[in-house]
Amino acid sequence: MLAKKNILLVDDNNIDLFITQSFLKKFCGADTIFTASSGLEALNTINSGINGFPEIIFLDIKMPEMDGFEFLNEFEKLSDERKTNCEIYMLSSSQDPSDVQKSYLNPFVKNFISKPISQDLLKSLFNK
Amino acid sequence: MISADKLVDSAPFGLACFRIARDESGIKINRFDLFKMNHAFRLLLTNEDNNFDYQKELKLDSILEFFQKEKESVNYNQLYYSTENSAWYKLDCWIADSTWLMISVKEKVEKRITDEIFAKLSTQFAHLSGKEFFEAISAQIAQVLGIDYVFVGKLNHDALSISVLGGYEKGSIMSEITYELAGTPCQNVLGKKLCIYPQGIQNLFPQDVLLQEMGVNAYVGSPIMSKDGEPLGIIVALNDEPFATTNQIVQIINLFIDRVTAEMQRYKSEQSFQESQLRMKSIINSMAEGLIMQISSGEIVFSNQNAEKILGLTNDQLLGKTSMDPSWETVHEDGTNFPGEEHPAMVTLKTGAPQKNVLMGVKKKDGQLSWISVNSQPIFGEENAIPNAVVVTFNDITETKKITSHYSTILQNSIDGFLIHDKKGKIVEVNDAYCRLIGYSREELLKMSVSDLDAKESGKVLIEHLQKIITSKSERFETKHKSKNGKIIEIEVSAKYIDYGYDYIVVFIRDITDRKIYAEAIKKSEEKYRNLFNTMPNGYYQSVPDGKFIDANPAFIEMLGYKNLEELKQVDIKKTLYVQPDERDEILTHNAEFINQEENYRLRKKDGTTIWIEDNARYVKDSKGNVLYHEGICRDISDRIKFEIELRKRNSELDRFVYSASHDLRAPLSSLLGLINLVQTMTDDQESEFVKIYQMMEKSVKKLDDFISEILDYSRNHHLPVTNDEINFEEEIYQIIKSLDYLNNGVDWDLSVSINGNNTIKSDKKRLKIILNNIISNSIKYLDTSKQDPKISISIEQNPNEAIIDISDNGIGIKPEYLKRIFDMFFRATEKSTGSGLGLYIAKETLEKLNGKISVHSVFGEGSTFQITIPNFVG
Repeated sequence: MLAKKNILLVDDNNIDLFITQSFLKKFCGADTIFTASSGLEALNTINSGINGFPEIIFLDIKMPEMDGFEFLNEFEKLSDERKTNCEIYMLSSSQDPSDVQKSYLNPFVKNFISKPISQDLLKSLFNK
Repeated sequence: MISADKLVDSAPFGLACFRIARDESGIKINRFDLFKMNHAFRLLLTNEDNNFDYQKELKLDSILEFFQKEKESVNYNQLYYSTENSAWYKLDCWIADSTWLMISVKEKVEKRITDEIFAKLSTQFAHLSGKEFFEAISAQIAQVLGIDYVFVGKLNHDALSISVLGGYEKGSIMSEITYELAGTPCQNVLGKKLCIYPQGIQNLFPQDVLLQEMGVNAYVGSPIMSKDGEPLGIIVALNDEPFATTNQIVQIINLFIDRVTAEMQRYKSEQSFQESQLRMKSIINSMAEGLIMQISSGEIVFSNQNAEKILGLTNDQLLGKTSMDPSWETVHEDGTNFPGEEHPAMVTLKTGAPQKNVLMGVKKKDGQLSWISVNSQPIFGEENAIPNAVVVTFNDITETKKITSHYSTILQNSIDGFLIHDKKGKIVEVNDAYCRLIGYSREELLKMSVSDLDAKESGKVLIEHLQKIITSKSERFETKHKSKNGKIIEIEVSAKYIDYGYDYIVVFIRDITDRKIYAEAIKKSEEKYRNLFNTMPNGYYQSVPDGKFIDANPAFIEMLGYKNLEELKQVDIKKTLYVQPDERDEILTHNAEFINQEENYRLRKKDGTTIWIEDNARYVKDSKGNVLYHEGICRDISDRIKFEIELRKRNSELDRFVYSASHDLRAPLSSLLGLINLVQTMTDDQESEFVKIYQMMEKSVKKLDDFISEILDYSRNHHLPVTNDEINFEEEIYQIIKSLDYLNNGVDWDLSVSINGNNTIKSDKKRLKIILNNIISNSIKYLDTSKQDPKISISIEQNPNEAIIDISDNGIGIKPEYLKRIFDMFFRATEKSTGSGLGLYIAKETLEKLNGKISVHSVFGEGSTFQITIPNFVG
């Protein structure tokens, strides 16, 4: 369950943000969810620390300003306290195998979730 | 100055004064006239004043002789024996004021001693010489004078040390020691004067270890000089106690010094004679030849070691034997008897003419026949026309003889030409093969010389060549001989100079005219290849593993932009030529295992630009497998590579575009699907109309999503290169089944998978997945829900060549009339189809990329079986 977990959703698509938020709240008991509409915004949020440091990030790949992979590069440069306890889940509708491969090669990425997100997958990932 | 008169009178010793009479010139002394002699002089020499014939007694003649020869400033000593007193006296003679001869007598020499010694000198010592003489005389002097040591030593060649030749040491013979002169009193003695140290000698010469050891105190030493005044040695007297009567010792030594000197000189010349004799003997013994000397009677008086060895006789057996001795068994070359009086030694003794290289067979004691080549040289006595001796030298040539007799038997039949000629080229033997080759008969050839035959060299050049062969012993070369009918024959000559008693040159001759013709042909053919090599458009090179070129054709040189081969040979291949230096090592390692391996790599041209090379290279190895060099034929494929790179770039751009497009198409679809999922979770009533509508919406969106995926697969199949991966069928199939879970429509069906064969195959994993995905998804989609046990069974047979995959179902089946068209694009065989009609088309297209096959067997209403064959990429 994700109760009391500091969760950050990064996606430029407001609909997808809404869907993911709804699923997480409904099926995983998430209660602390912040959102960012690009990698850059997410990075600024984390750096400012106003929302605390995220423990779980759901990260879209294709975004304006700073895409998912660019965000991962910047994330790696952050201080340890900002990233040590953080798990990142890629959440994308890309079917490009190189995107999947790149995601799994990144040490901070825990999983690659293909959109659309499903109730069963979320349960299997977080409700153990 | 006191007058001579007064001087004579007042002298405390015996003194006589004579007036000197000179010739007209006033230089030469003519005679001495007695002026005055004092009482002491008279008393010592004679008791009778009157009848003293001073001219005779004082030996004035010899004094006169001395001063006529020597400088007048020198003193002359002379012994005088007084019969009156039976005593010896020493007379000191000197010239004063150029006017007076003064003779002084100081004391008499001890009579007893001198008598004894002189007696011995004439009797006992007379027959002694060398060491024995020196020992005897030393002992005598020591005994009569009562002193501890007396010895005679010779100055060694180094002039730095003395070796004792004979001496007396406290009652016994002194050992023959050698001592260094430096720091000893003897060093002073050899400064050509008598040295007397009556006592304290050790303190004076602290460095003289020998003196210290002997513990001596007193020393008298006199040099032994040659007539020329060169020091020969020394006579020394030593005593533990200080000398009581030094004068006496000096007198005695002076008495003996002439005799000792004479003996020393004799001893020295004897020594050097013996040394030279030894040297001569060792030279004669170390000669390679045997040497004997025979006197006019034919008697052997000398033989060296080799003579004894060659003749098989001891020195004793040889000495005294004559050439006529019946025990000699000697034969000529042809086996006939060789009588003693005809032996070269005897011929030389008789005629005085030296004999050269006479071949003689000598039967040895063990019955073996030795062949010797004999030279004899006469020795003439003074003014004699007939020699009084002969020196005979000889070599054992038995081995050489064996070889030549071997020659004569087999070489006559040899296919190679063979001839023997002397140092000047005159032919002495020839075989049939050569006669056949050259066209002359043996008889003709034996009258000829090589200069008559050689068509290449003549006159001085030929003589020089022969001389060269004699010097180098053997040589191999090519030349031309002219046959009797004028034909020039190319020959290869192997010449060997045999000097061992023969002085002949043995020559093997081989006709190489044919070989020359072949060589010419080979040369032409090589030229042809060379031309091909030089003009071919492909580059050809040879390089050695350490990174230098050894050869290259013009095309290769031009390809790399170098001026010529010489310039290219300077290039360090690895460092200069390779764009990535490590690549060469990789290629070389790689190529060590393969022959004719094709490699593509980049090289840097001389101007710095790079080109792509396709190199068909291999190692050239010797018979033992060692790499000799590396050769390759190259093409410049820069243009092709450029296009390939461009194409790859385009493909990659296209790929990115396709993905980007598919993503942009799919993104709103997945949002929509997400929303539908969300709505469905909002009600618990799964049977409500809303839920059913949402389910239909979901299916419709998924269909569109699948279609996009299919288009993506299709596009990728066309432009992406085929990869080569190890295939794990089990894993692939379960992943596919899992991803297709949404298709089941809630219908339960059975799946059975069987994988047989231990061989895993290699193929393109992604393409295989697309193929399997399409076939299996069809099987699931068209399951017959009316049947009780809907099932799909997948069986895979793997063998080293291929994998055969059967996918069977008991689904709805395919109508026979559609079977042929199911792989067509956009063809849909059933109204139940929810697909786009692309699935099987893409499967077939993709399979073609993998060189695979697909076949289908289906009975409408019963089920379908698809069989896919995928070849193994390895093999």
